[in-house]
Amino acid sequence: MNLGDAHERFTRLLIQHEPAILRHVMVAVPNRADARDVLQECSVALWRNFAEYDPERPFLNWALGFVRVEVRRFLRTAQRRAQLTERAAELLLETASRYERQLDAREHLLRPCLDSLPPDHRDLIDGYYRESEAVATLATRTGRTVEAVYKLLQRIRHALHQCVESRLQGTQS
Amino acid sequence: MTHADWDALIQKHLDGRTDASEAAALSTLLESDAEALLLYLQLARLHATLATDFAEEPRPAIEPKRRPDRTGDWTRDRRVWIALSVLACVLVVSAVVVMARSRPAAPVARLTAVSGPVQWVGDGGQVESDSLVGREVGAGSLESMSVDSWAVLEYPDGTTVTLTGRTTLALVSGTRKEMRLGHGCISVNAVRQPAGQPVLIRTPTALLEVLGTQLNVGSDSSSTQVSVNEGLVRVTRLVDGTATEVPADHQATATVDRFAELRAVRRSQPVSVWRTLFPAGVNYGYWRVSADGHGGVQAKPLLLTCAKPNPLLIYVASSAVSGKDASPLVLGRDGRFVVRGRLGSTADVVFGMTLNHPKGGFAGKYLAHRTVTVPANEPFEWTVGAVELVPTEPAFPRSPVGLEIVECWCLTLHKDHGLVVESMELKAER
Repeated sequence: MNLGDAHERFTRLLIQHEPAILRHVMVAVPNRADARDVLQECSVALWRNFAEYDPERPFLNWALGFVRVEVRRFLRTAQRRAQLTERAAELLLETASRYERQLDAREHLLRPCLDSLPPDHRDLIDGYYRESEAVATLATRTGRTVEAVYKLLQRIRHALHQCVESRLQGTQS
Repeated sequence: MTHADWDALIQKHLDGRTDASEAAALSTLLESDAEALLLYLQLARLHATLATDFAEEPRPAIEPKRRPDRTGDWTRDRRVWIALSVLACVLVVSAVVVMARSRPAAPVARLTAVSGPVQWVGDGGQVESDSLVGREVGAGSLESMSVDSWAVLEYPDGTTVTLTGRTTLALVSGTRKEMRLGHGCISVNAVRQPAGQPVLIRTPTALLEVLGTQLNVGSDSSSTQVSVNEGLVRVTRLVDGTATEVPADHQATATVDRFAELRAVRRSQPVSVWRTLFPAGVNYGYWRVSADGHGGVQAKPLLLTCAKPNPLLIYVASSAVSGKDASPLVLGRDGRFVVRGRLGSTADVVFGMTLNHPKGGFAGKYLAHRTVTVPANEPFEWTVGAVELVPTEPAFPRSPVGLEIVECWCLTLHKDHGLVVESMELKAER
């Protein structure tokens, strides 16, 4: 396979699995910009080693090995924010792999829960996640303090978590 | 600690607001309690899904589709010229005004040229970015902060080190020349050194011993590329101590992979065509995939705190450049760059590059500018001819034709215009 073919195949696989890889990174590195940096390093490592990838194996499983290495490397060097210990991050990544199916199921239930949010809560979630607005901006826009915005975000995520939980119970009963 | 306390602590961490002691407490909790670990996973997955999948969904208001590339003449926009001159031209050309204050106790080298945002961090932590030209510096770090900035250090014996692009180089004081390249690119012209006292260049992955030579070094956290134009360089890979000698006109790469071969290979013949193979080669920016499945490098913010007169925010996507099999890429007279990407809104886009002399060191930086107007998140294609590229400094060769390209970048100024570079390509035909 020439370089062009390999690159096209690699790009296709990476595009297909990038969201899942990023979600795994964000388990241990929740800050989005930091997680993007780790994903970046991970993508380069995957490309460098792509010649060794066995197409018979699932790409995501292969990629998650690199995620662990890059997350560990990031946690050792990152000093901008308080981070989890390497041991805790390892445990999270291992457990996330074991619970992958269950976590996927929960993710599918999130959409209707999100749609059921009151408009002002939905607006806040959209601002924070979709528009990447700073919390200070959200605070000004909504007439709250920064601390109040963080508290409200916590309550909304807690409500979404509870909603997913109850829908999960419903599908299992 | 109650479940509610767990929930609050976990969410605080997901928002990046825990301090060191809270992060340590959370880590201890996760390591010791399986139930807390599962709760963390569920909340973190919810956070990640909101931040990725739903955040990537297209926005409801969509402008009608039109053909891209309705580009205008950037040069008409005076405001942007001013901003770019700030970005590109903090060249302190005046003769040396060696500051009486904060002179290092044991000077190691002298800064002979500086352009763009560059700062010196002394070993006491003091940061200086004013009047650096002519400054004698001792132990400390020189930081070239932007893709278009560069600086030259000269040792008393005439050995010079040029930093280009985003590079951090620490100087070590002592009887021999020793430096640590944290990341980035340097070009070294070393005069012949006394026997047994080679110039030492340490990177995260290699130790280079230089007796007298011209070489270019690029380094990041996982690999070091050494390209030798004159003389001989000994490269020792740190992961296992394997060493090789790299003679003139050869190159070698030392990585963190102990199973990869470390050997000097002759530099290939120059080529004149090239195309990015993202995510490989990304120097700065986020590799990401859009909602409609296009891969590209999203420009990443870079705050240039030492830009004058005010700090400057730019958004940059940059790529290392080398041809097939790491061949040098030389810009021919008929060379045309084709930049393909997307923009969230109309923006002044700068396309630039760093070039070396063929088989030599740093030659210069060149730019072209356009106002790119396309419907939000629609593709644009911008063709830049070699003749459109202008040097950022009068001292550089007037034309980049015949020089070797080592890095290309695109950037926007002041705010995030949603610049995503999907590919950059050099074509040789008319």
